[in-house]
Amino acid sequence: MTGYVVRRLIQAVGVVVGVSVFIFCLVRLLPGDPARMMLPESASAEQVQAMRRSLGLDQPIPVQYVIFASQAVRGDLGRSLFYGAPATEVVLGHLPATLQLAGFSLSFALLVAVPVGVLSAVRRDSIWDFLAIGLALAGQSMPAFWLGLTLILVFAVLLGVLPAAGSGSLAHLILPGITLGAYLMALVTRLVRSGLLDVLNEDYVRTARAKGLGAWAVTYGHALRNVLIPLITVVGLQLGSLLGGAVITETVFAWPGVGTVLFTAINARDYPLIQASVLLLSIFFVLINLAVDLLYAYVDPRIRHA
Amino acid sequence: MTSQPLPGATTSGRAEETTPSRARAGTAVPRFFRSRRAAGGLFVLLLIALSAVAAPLLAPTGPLEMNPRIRLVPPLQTSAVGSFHLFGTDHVGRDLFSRVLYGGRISVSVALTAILLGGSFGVVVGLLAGYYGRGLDAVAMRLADLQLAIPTILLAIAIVAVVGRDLVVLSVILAISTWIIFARTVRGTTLALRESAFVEAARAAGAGDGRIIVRHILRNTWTPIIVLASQQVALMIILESSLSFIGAGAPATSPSWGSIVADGRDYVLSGNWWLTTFPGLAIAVSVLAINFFGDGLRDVLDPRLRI
Repeated sequence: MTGYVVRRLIQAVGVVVGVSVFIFCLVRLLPGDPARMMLPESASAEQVQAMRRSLGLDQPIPVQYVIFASQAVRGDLGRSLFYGAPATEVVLGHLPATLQLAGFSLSFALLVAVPVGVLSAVRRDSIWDFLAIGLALAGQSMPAFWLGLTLILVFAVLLGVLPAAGSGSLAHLILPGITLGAYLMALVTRLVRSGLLDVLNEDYVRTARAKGLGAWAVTYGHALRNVLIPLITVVGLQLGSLLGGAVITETVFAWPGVGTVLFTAINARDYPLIQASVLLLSIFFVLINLAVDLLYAYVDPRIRHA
Repeated sequence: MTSQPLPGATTSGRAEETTPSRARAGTAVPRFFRSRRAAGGLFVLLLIALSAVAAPLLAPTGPLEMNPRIRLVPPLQTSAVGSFHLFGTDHVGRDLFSRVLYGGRISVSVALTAILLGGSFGVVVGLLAGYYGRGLDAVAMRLADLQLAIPTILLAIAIVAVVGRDLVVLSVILAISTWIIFARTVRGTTLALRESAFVEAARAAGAGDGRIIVRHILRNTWTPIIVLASQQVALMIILESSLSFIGAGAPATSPSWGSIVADGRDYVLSGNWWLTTFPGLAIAVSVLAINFFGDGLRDVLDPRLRI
């Protein structure tokens, strides 16, 4: 296990270095002079030169990367032009809101999808199955931003029962949470349904039934257990995309997370902030995937020897 | 596959090689149309393709034509100047039906270009990595890992921030997001086929690497490639519209469905529902139709395929 953990950690560090090189190169490709961009229009040539020197732009590119990396390691990713604060601080300050949204969406998706998937498999070809499949298909076909706008239209504008934007209460979480969780919910519903259908006619399920266990115990205690491994795999794989999806969902609901920061940064051409959000979100993404992988290896010994 | 005569060992082997797939194709078409979902999906797809191609004939106005005198006309109504608007008009008096028709051209062609680019690149990488293995394989797969470490949305935002909004850039970004799944799938089948008896036989008969890869391995990999491509088109349409929605996709001069939804979002709160509903429905309906079509294709070509 230790060997596997070390190998995976080195891999993760390699990926983070790769991402930082990519972001660094991309920012160097930006049109225009970053020094001039960080100064007011009226800045003199000497001021621009001084800014270039203070930013290290007069150094060769590899040296510039080392400076960038050593600053980044110390948490210094430049100052946001729009917020007028260190970019790292801005991004990290908004991360909890994003995590809250993602966590709520994950719970929503699982709490709806598992019972619906079970119902749809147990009552196969009934009206419930039909509705469940319809729900799953809708969830997979609607782009999140449009689902969000449509939910606002129905629940905030038409019915006026839920807030359209902002944060602060549980009511504010409901619409963005459903929007972000819809795709995962659809995926899990299909997975639970097909997984259960695969095993419902297996001998061990019949045995459980034959020995007099109630329908509830058979379904949830025996059959559903078989779906657990693929379920954990899919949810683990999707955790990262939940983070990416949060970027879109937040912009629809003005949810004060990293996605809204990124959206603001794009519109304001705030390059240090774009750089910091992309880099930090990617690192976070790598960390989540690392944690999921290590968890698997812990649960399933076959993985660490593969 | 075990009792098959060794194809490729002689020149006449080619005929035998094509017979099984042709026999399958013979029943595939009726089987495909027996599925109501698959046939319905194909029908809707043809309708969308037709309306995209014939947009200039069907659309009453151009997609960018404004008329301040007919702002925010609700759907199915005639404006003050007497023009009829099936989907209504937007905040600067553009006919929404025309915009959705023209938007379909952009969304569909960008998605197809992306699949063509990303799919062929991924297939080539997968074939080479699977066949030659070692260094090439390691480099390709590490590159894929690295790319998967950045969520596509973020990658796209970063690239668009640098090079600007452009349809070619957008197609390339989408292609970058899709090549990995093609490469991984093809690499997997190539690894298996490389060791198969008929490839060994072809090699024994003196076939070169290029011939083996194209004639024997690629030929037997078409099914997963086609199924994958049909499923990925749906994903590309969603991704493209999401990027255009947040302003990192199609340029303002050639609005896709996602851009049209973005244009209407500020009017949602004032109850002008049609501005976002119709372009959004266009996205959802096409994605649904593509998925039905793709699932039908998979069930007909190879039901065991778990992709």
